[in-house]
Amino acid sequence: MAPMIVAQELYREFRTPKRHPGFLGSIRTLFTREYNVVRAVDHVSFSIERGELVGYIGPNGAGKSTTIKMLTGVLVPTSGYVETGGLVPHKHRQELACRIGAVFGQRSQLWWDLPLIESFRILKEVYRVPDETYERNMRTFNELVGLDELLNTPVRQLSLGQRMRGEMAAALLHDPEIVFLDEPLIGLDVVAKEHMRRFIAEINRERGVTVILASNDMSDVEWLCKRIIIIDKGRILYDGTIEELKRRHAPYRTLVVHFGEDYPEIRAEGAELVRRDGTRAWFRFDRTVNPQRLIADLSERYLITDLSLAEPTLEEVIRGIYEATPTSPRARSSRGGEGKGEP
Amino acid sequence: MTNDQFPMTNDRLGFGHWSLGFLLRVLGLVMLAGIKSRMEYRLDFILRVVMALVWNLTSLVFIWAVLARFRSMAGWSLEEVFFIYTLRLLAHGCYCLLFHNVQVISRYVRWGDFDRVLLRPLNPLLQLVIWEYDPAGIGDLGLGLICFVVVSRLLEFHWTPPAIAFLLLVMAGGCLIELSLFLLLNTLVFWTTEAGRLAWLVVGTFSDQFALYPLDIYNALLQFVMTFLVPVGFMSYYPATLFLDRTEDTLFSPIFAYLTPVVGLVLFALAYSFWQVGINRYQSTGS
Amino acid sequence: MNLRGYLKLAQAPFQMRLAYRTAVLLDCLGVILRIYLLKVFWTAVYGGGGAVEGINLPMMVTYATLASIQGIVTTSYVHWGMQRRVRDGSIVIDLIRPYGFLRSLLASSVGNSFLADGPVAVFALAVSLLFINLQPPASLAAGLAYLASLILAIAVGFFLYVLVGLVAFWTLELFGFNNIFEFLSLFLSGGLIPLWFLPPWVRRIAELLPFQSLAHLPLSIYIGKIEGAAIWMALLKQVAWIGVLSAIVWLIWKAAERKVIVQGG
Repeated sequence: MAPMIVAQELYREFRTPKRHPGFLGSIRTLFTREYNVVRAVDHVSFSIERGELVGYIGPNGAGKSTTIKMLTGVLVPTSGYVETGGLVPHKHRQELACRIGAVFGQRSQLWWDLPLIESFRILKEVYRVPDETYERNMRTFNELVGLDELLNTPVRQLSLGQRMRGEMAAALLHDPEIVFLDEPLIGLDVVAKEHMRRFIAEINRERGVTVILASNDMSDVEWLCKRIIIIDKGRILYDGTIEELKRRHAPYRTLVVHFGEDYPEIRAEGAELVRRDGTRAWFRFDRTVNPQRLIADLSERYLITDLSLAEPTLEEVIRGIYEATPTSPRARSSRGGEGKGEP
Repeated sequence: MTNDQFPMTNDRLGFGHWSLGFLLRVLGLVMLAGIKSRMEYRLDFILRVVMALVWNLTSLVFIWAVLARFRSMAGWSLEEVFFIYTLRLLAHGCYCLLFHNVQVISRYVRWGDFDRVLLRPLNPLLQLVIWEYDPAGIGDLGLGLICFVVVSRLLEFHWTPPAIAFLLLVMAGGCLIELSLFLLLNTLVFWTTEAGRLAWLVVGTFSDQFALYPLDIYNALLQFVMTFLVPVGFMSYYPATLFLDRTEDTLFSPIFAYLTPVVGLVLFALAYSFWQVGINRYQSTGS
Repeated sequence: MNLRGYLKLAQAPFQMRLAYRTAVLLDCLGVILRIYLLKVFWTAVYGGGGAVEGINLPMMVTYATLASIQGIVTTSYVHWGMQRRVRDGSIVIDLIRPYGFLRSLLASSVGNSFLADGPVAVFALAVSLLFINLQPPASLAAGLAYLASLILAIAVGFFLYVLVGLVAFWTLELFGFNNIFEFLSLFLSGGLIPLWFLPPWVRRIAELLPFQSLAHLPLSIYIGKIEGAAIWMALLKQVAWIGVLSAIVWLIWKAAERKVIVQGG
């Protein structure tokens, strides 16, 4: 089956006229032919299959939002090819609109002063959602996130977590095939986040909705996604599974040990002491090493009161990657991340 | 869920696969929601209506007071000038009641809300006009209707069915003229952020002030501007010459008295085309 | 309220200078167009005829033009600032030092008049001198008296707007009240239509109210409708109104103070 989303050498630049300072300068600016060129999306290629839940991560200004705009048809690429749901987005924008849903973290699509249910009624009409589909979805949403209890409250009176549940439901009301989520969990408390994560995971699993999650929050991405695409300064740094990413860029694990005494010096065979805090120590060791040997070795020589094993978090890994990326935009970034798996 | 559920359609008008029933249902639902939403702030609504009334009454009282004293201007009596004022107010009232929201375009684009508009399967202009519908225009139109009754009596005007029919056409045409002017100027927001203010100044000046009087009082250049460039003359003056049997007095052809609906349609077609250009630019340059 | 008023009220940061500059530019254009329209209007209305109530066309055009220009400086925005302070509660601080507050209001009002309105007024005046046949004052004495009267008019305007602002203590929402106030003020001040063109009963009401100090009195002095000893009477009337209004402001201020203290803001 053809992939849901295809991007080939997708390129988008923004030209802003070079501003000259001062009053006379502003007149000069009107006639200037010099431009600052910002490469927001720099020859990005990937393809996403139906039913995938892909994390699209990158620092602010990396090009995430710009990519999504091109995938949804809001923005026309400067060059390159893009296809969403078999259509070229900007050519068939309104046709595509029926098949995609979107949640933009900061901007709401709900009616502020009216009860939540009104927004749904309007969207039902605008998207021409058949009655049974509407009923079914409203039931499902209630099962998943308890939407019914919120329906009669004006949106302005809802908490952020409640509102985001409504936004998510609103985006899914018309049974879209693809959902674009741009920072949907930002600012939510722990409980609300949990609800939203389950909601997203459930939708993806049960209905096979393709989900693109653009976010800066690594714990959300790690929880939800198997596959991630890392973008920075318009270029893809990595496209593959999280597991593979860790294996490749953080092939270690950490053993956290609580010692019974405050030993002056602690050594371990085959492991590196990366951090020490009083009686606690963090040992980093290679994945290939069997932790049992390390633990046995330590417990022979020291008194240990507690132990735990920690996996590298996605955040640690990504930070490492960002720091390793050269800052010059013209420089070829390490192509070690292109395509799925090993190049 | 397959692609067959949403058959490919020729989407040039941006309406997608549509029917009149669908359109009316959506319009009704969204506008009703807008009204409900505004009624949450009842006092604010009333104040806005009052403000509109005060604004319009200021001009009216001004004209009335001066002409009561001076009897006529450029050969037009007080009642006749009042008639011109009323025609313009009726058209303006229709515009306010139906399309006032076209002025939010610049706000939507500047605050990044326009993307969401593009992502919905409904014509963007239609969305912008109905989404935050505000019924406050009822004040303007209401005042216009009152003025209409009063001036008809003052002029002892006998309204025959054809006259009423043409009056409705004039109202519709004038409404389209004002809508088109606001649309044209607001579309400039895709090029400059100051478009909203510019629109307010231009249309506010020409429609709210200059169009209230017979064009005879202006010099040839200004008459040209108000006929061919910012055709607010067609909102009030030209149709007035027809109703008041003064079509021979105009600087240009007497035919113009009949042209208001045509001008409205043509101008709207121009404005809408420019609007499409604006959207294309937005999609090409990103803001 | 015009564009500049909004921006001033918002105390927009300097990044908005472009927006501010455009707003000023557009306001200038707006004023000039209004002046032009009034000139065309009065010319048409006079229709080549001679003086009416002793005022001929050039004098009337001068009156209308000056009224538009001086209207820029006599309008104050203090009431919006007051409303804002009542709404966000910072008015409580002002209550502790009432004299200081009024003085600061006056200072900001005058400051705004010079910095923001001044240039627009000067620009409008310059353009008017070029394109409109502005008549000089009826006499040198009239001209000087006009200037004095104008300053008094600004003061009267200031107190009137403070009064409007005080209403905010009770209603919190000034919008509708302000509109009615501006509407009445526009007509009863003679700023839009000279009072001598209005029906006698309106004239009688206007004579009892402070609004005529804003436009009718200074402009009548300028064009010579008020002359000789009557000029002193007019100036005295303005001074008297300043006194009366400031007393009323003081009383209402006290009442507002009590209200806030009792209700705890």
